Amino acid sequence: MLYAECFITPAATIYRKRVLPVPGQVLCGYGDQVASDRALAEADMAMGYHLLDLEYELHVEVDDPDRFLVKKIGDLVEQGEVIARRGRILLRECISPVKGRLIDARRGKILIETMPEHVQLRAFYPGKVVNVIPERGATLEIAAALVQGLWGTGRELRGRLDSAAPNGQTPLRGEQIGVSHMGTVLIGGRSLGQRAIEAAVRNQVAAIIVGSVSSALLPAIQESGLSVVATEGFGDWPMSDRAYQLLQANVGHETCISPTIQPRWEVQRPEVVIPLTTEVQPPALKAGAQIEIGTTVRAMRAPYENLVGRVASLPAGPRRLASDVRVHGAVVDLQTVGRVFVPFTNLEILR
Amino acid sequence: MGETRSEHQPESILIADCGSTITKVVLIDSVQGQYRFVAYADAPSTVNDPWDDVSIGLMHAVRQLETIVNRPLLDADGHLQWPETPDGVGVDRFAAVSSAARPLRVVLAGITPGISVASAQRATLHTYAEVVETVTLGGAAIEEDGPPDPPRTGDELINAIWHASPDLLCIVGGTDDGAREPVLNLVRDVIRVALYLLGEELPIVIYAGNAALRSEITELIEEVAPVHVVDNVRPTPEVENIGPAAEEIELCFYEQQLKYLPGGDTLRAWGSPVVLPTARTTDYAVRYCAHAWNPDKPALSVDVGSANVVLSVCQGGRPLTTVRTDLGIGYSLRSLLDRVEMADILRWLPFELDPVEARDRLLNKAFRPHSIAQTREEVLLEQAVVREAVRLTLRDLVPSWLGRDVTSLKDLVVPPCEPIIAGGGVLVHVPHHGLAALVLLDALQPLGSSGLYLDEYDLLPTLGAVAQERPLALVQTLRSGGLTYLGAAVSVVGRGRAGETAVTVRPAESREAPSIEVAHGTLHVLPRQAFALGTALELVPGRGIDIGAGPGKPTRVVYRGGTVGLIVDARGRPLPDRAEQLSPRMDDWLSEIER
Repeated sequence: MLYAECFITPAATIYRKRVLPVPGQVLCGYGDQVASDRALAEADMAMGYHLLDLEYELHVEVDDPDRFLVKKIGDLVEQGEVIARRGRILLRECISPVKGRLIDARRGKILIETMPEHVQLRAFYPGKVVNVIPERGATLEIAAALVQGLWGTGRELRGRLDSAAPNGQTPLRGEQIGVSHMGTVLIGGRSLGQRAIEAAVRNQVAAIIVGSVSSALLPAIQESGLSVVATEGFGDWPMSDRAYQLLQANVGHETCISPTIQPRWEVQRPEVVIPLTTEVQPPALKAGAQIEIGTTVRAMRAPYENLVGRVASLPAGPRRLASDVRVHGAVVDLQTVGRVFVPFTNLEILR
Repeated sequence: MGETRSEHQPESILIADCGSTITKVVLIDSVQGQYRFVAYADAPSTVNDPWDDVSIGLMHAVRQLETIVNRPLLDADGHLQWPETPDGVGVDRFAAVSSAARPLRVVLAGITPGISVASAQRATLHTYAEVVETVTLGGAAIEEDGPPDPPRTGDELINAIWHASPDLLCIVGGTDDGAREPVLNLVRDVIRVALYLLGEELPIVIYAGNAALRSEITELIEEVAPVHVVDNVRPTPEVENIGPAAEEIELCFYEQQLKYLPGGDTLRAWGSPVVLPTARTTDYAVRYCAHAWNPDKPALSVDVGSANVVLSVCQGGRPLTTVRTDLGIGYSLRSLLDRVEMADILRWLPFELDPVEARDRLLNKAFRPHSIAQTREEVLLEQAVVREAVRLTLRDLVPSWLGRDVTSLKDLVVPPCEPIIAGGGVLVHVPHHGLAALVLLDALQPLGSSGLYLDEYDLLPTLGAVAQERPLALVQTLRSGGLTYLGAAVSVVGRGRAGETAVTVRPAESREAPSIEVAHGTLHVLPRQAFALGTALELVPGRGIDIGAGPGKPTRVVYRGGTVGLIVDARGRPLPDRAEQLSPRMDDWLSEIER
């Protein structure tokens, strides 16, 4: 059987692909040990284009633009610089509206590429290059503690892991965030409120990891520019003990937070990666675990949403749910509610 | 494959439907010389990370099927055994359909927003495509009456296309022999440059505008990209002709997306050289249904999946499909919530639910698309979402199907259909079939008398996959009860006072038998044991009330039972749209339909 899985693990070897959005040049090689700020690849990325009507600008029919160009194809041009000119006394000029590169001229038109932005793809995670992807980047092997969430927003960033939450059960309050949290990835406990968001912005917190967020706060979170990862999703859920304790145990460590969520057609979980400095390579994470008696699982839907427990038994046949639908599933010993039947489709294996 | 048998000898056929969330497999085989549905199994789809291979989920589903039928289908290496061996190992034929590929990213280009661009937009709705950008010259309307877009400069249009990075660019504009210069200017000054800039990421280009400009347009663009020329989507202001463009777009979806489904090689190795789009094969099956059930009435299929909602209708031999790739109940739930007001969803619930809590729950479902509702409250919430998703899709289908724009709720009702077939997990996996029936009645609001069915085993899209080569498999399997008959629904048009009789139901041949009176504003179900199957029933409407035969005119239906029974829907058409009118009555309607 295929089951959903969520990784909350203190030590594992993970693999992460790092790629440029456009083709470029790869700057690393197979086997390289890279620090998190090492450039793996770089590219000049076009930001936009401008089309100029030479005939309109010069007031003349242009069969051969080369006759009028004072710049060559491929030349860099400054904003306001003359690109083409006609006449000596009654001068007509075509001026570049932007800083960029002249990339084409034909049929009376000139095409300028806005100054390309030079982008460098950083490793982000310290690790070893185990695969070079030509023109794009590399796959890194990283020894790390890993906490996957359900939802996230903001940009990926690194920072020291700090804690403002006494536990995973209580919401993060504004007064718990201070100037000492500047630039940190903050463990925020149960949930995030408006005042906590404001305090985090005021104190220049880099990112917050919480159990849950209310969908009503989405506009405020997105406007704040904060990177946020919610381990349990939307609503008002405490952070699981497993996630909270793992994060607390790593307070003070450099942490990589990647809050990207799945695009509509893919599956991608937001995650917190805490690189480990260890002599012994931890075991690699491999998807495809099976549900067996004793497996630690999390229920994903009401009435047991986000409760964690161990599989107590695996009934042979389907059972009837509260909704009256008969499905296959497992009897799980869930925290606080005891032994209950949960459909396999509503369980994710915690690893 | 299967060459040893004649076309008329039933073969064993395994058909897979690889969806974005669930992969379903169906086994059809010969029983007493006729095709019959034998078994169904499913497994989570593995088209996405971490598997990125659709065949893994398929293999799990087939293994399950082997257990159910107690018959080996795969060999020791996990390859499908075909053709079937004399001792019953494997199958003779394999076919696959899929809706798991990412939809085509489409940019529409036209002179002004309005008629031609609107037609092109409708053409994209026939397959798995999403319009990510529309570029028009804007300014004064040339052929359309609608308000012009705020005009964008040529630079802005070029950059818009470039940033959109489309798989497909569809150019329209001008009636045949109509507008010339604006179309040529658009292509010369914007499209051609944008295509040049897209370089290696070149999209497929379709030209479906003024036919008189075909050679000029081709000449202008060919230098940078090949052009697929099809008939004008708007040959005259009054005539819309989206068929050829829609077919070309569907072909592009196949060529660009479906062909590259990760793991698709396995499907081909198993003997399915072409993996057809699920919406296409459903369309094939619905055509058959229209022919087989009642050629005078349209056949309609409603499929609500995790990523897509698909409505397929066939009327008078003319098939129509509308695919909304942004309205599914799993992967697409986030975009669905952007398009539907939460209040519109909550009005279908018989209990109060805080809108923020509802959004929280639904967003969590969006990130756990495989999960299923476990409580009655969650079942009803998901079905409320389905009602709105189907209504939005219907809004797109109605103009092409019924030739009218949707300007009010009255336009969002459908004519009597035979059959109406519901598919998709949220409709099929219901605690009571009545719930699925009520979703259909609320979302489609059919007039007159319609037969309601449930496609519990995904037979429409799967059998549609073999409809061309093995039509008997489709015909015989559906005829032999492959679909679950929920019952007939007779709907009342016309308002009356609450409590007054809207319809009286009585056996046509026995005046002594007690009659059943159904009051205005209510829903009444005659359960499956109410009458002997085959009993002719006379339905007599109140004054001014229309139940399909005209105001005040009685009609007859043959009582055929069904898992729900005969539903007399005297709630009126259209249903009220305000929450205070709907929500308090949902409890009564649910109680009745679940009797």
